[in-house]
Amino acid sequence: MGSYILRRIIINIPVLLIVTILVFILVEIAPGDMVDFFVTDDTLQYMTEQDLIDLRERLGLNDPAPIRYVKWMGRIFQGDFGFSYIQAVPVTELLGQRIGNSLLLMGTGLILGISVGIPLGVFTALRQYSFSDFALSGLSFVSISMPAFISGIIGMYIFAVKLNWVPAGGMRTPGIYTIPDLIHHLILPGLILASMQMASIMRYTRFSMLEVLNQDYVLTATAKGMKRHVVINHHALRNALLPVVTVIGLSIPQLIVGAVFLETIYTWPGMGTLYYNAVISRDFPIIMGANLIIAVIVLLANLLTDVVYSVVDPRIRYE
Amino acid sequence: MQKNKRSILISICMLLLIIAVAPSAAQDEKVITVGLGVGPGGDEEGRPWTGGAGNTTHIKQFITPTIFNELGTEMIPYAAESWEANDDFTVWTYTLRDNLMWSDGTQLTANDWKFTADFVTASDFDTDQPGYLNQAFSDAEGFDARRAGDADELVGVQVIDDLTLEYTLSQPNPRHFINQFRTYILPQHAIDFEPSEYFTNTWFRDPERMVGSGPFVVSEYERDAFLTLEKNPFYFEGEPKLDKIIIRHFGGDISAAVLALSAGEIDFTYVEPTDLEVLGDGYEVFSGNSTVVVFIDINYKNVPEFWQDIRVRQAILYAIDREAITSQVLQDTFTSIPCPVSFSELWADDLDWYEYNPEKAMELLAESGVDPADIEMEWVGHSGYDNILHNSALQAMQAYLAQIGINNTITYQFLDIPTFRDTYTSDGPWTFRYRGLGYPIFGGNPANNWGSAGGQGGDFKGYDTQSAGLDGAIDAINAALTTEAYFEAMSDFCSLHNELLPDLQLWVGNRFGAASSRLVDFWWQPAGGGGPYYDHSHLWDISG
Repeated sequence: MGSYILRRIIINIPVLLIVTILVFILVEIAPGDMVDFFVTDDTLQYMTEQDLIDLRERLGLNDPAPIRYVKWMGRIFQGDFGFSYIQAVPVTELLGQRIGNSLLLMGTGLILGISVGIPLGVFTALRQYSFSDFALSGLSFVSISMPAFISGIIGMYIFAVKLNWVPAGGMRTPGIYTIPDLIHHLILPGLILASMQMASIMRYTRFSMLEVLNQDYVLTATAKGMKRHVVINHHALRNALLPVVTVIGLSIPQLIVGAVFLETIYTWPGMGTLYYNAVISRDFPIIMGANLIIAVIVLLANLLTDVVYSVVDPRIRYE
Repeated sequence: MQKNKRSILISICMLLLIIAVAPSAAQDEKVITVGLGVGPGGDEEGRPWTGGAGNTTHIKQFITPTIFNELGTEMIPYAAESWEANDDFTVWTYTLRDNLMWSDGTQLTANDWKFTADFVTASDFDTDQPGYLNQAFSDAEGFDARRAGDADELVGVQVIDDLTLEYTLSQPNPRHFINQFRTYILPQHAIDFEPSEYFTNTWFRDPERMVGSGPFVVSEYERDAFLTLEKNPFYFEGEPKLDKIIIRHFGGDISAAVLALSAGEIDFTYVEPTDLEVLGDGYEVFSGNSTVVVFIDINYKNVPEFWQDIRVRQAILYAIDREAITSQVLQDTFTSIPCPVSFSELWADDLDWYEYNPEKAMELLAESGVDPADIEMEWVGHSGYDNILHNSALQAMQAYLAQIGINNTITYQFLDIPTFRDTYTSDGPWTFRYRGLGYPIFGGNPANNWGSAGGQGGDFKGYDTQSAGLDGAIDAINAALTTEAYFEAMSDFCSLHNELLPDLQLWVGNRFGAASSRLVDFWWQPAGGGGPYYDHSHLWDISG
């Protein structure tokens, strides 16, 4: 297993390299650049041509694109992600602050989604065609179909604005640094994110359980007189989880996307809002740094999925 | 199963407990929470002399500008109590108030102003917006040498005494004081870093180091979350009534700010016109002229020759019922304008409003020999106008033009700023664009968009502003020796533009802010670009 993990990590390095090159090319071919973002109609009248040249020089935009990429890569290998053009803060500092916030939000959504989605999937599989099966399935379709930003806004309107149960955005109350306050702010965006995960995990678990429950070995176990919960938890669920593990792993990128929308709506200071604002303003160091981090997270998530897969299914062994 | 049910019940109870006991802020202080960085030009990370300096409204809370540009035609003395010029407007003398204090009890003097001039004009001064320092100091003698690193100071700015500063200009400027409305004076005794470190320095957000002259000072800061200001007891207009102002960050997301206002979590934010209906009653609504004039810009280099014929351009305006659009589609949040000058007091009585008259439009096209079917207009908007109101207004215009047989396509592209600028270049293939341009009465230079010397004027769009007389009209504005002459020249420019129609002026927008009912003596003005303006924040209070 150890050599397998090491091999996967080594294979992923060129993948990361390709990702950075592709992102760099996309940023390069996008119309406009950083200086266009800085220069407004208001300030344009007071800026000279030399000012614009100096600005480009200051941002390193006068270098040819390949040179800029190579310089950036060189700094990355030294752990230097550069400075944000807009916020004048080291990118590592920004990413460090934001990634924790994003992982908290995403992690909450994922954990809640798994811990509720799987039991609900089992529940509905065992009550196929019942009222609760139809009701939960219907709700899951609604949840899957509804875009994150819509459910986020609806959730905020109902629970924050109308009912005043939770704060209307933000990560904490100014000046208060307590866990309960953090949780208070996390509840709504976390639940919204979790609801999307719950719905899809529930659906896959239900489908997978229904397939497994009709297998011969399950029927044999039942016929042997084993208790129902033993049959379900020890025989059926374990096998039914195999495809669900894959789905969970593949949902990580979707979780990141969902987090971007929710972070914007709930003004949650995470990677999503940082990345979005960086793209709008062509803040190159943040775009490249954030993309690199996100790519690493996705690749690690895939690796973790494979490892968990082998844990769940002892038949699978990586060499 | 019983165990599962018990676990679920316990989890729900814990969740409710957390909601119930979640702490709130201390109740004994007068604190308001606002979203001052929301709205056009807002920059929650803005600092003096950088990108957010001219456009964000929170900077003036902790650093006083020398002069305020009030909406309309007034300049308000602020840190500078008075100013006067010599006969030929080459020497300007500014007198500071004698009761200006920094938040550490030190007096603010002309030496701080001189220090600021030398500091921000240093050749290695690190800023993303040199336009602001250019505006304040570029016409002072020795500016070029200073910026090139060939001079140890800006010789054109000198201290006369503790309260008096003198500018010696390289050229006469009858309205030099206008250029000072974004001059933020820095504390010589407290700045502990070099000009080259300005942009990356955390001084402005560090309560231990930062010293300000505004009604409030920085007390706490969390990046991308909030900036807390507490009252400055040394403020020259008196100690503020509020103990703290918390400026909450919304990343420019107006919807999030409006929802927070609705939930009672903040006391004020900029709002879009469509948000006012959602908010309903119970809020004090501030509104005013945004000075952002919206118009159809024409690229004469790429449109057919017949667009040079003024009758064609007049026909377009006659074909569109702007009054109906502003009242019914834009819901009175915009006002029709006859020219780029949006202040009605400067409109001559004999301006042509091109009131809706489709028959006249057809007549004019017939006179010019242009078949409406041959007129194709493909125009593009940008993300600054991606709301339902502008969308509807564009569709309405499209329908009006179609009624007289003009084919036009509106491609409503949500272009971000860099893309918009890159697309609409001098050599670009664009033909028409639906755009806005902030043109406050002071601080704006019409040459930028309507003169041959401007960045997006005559040469940019292929319109001969020289021959048309627009350059002359703009020169008259800039050369006016008195304020009265200045306004008169602006009025003449307005009349000329109205007559020539180099572009098709449509309307000017109002901007809105909404404040909760608990605020007392709160005041907000939608100045062009966001400010700065005088808002007497030391008088803001809360009821009860």
